[in-house]
Amino acid sequence: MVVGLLGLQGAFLDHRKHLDQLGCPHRIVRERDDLAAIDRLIIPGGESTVMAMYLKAFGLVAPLKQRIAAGMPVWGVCAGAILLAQTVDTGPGILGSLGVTVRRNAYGRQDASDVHPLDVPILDRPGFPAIFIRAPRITAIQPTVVVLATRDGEPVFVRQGCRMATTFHPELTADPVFHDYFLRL
Amino acid sequence: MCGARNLGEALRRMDEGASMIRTKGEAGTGNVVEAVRHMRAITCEIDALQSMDDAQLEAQAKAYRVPVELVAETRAAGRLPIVNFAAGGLATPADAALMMQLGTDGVFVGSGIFKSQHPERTAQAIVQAVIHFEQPDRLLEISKNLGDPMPGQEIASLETRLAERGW
Repeated sequence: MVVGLLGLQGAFLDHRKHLDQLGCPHRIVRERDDLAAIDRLIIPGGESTVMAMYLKAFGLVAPLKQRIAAGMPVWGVCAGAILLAQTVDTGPGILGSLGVTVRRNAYGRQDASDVHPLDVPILDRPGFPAIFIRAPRITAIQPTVVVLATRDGEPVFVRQGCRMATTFHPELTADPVFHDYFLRL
Repeated sequence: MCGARNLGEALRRMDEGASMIRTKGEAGTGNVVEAVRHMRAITCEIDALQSMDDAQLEAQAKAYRVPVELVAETRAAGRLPIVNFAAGGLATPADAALMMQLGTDGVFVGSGIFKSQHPERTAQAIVQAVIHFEQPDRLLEISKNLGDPMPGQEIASLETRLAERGW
């Protein structure tokens, strides 16, 4: 099984260490041809507008949507969650593959970024140090979306079938527990 | 974010609290040779750490004037522990791809864009070169129809070298 790391912009390289630790091969995805070689995809954190621009420019939007619709497991981290979302702010999302509505930069500017202790019962992690960096907020979810962790009552880790999203950055914490969970989706 | 020309400078800036490094290069010249020199220096010095025993590492940390933990962390990571962008003299998509191939995490380009014949096209091409730095055929396409790049200056003929200023 090969995990793809969408490598257009952002924190894609940081996922390699965790996947290596779990003994899982990975490759960077930048072209349509790369998609054929992967079984799962992580859409990393970064600048969602920049990634959206190049997803469109390199003709990746339609093939990606197709793969996800066909059941390829996918994980959106922060900006990746924005790209996956059905609705962003008030408009349609880029990939529209995850039944959530997100609001961008919803915690405020960079000085509102923080490390927040998060209880993640499904991963047996009480007080996981979740790193939020100009994170989006998930403001609404479809009934089939399962909320796996919350911050102040709002979902920050969700799953819908084999699609998951975290609004924080588990790849910046040494613990590979989220990657392990993703590999078992 | 702080500039550095070698590993000692980079680690001292980190020890002072920098969260990002830029290899300095020589700004405003359109000549990438100094940026390459500084990046290579850092890579060579990190390679050299790999073959040191603990006593040598301690001595190296003293020479760098930083805590040994920081040097050990760098050795373990095999790279700078924080993000490093290449700056100073990059003017073309090829320059950007070259620096990415040398192991930088990204690039800064200022006058290389503004002093080129078609700044907007050049800027877009450099961004794409950073994404596709490992694919020569893509780089060739990206580099076409950009007009004249910023003219490069010879480093030896500069009156003031910015990389040696600011101390």
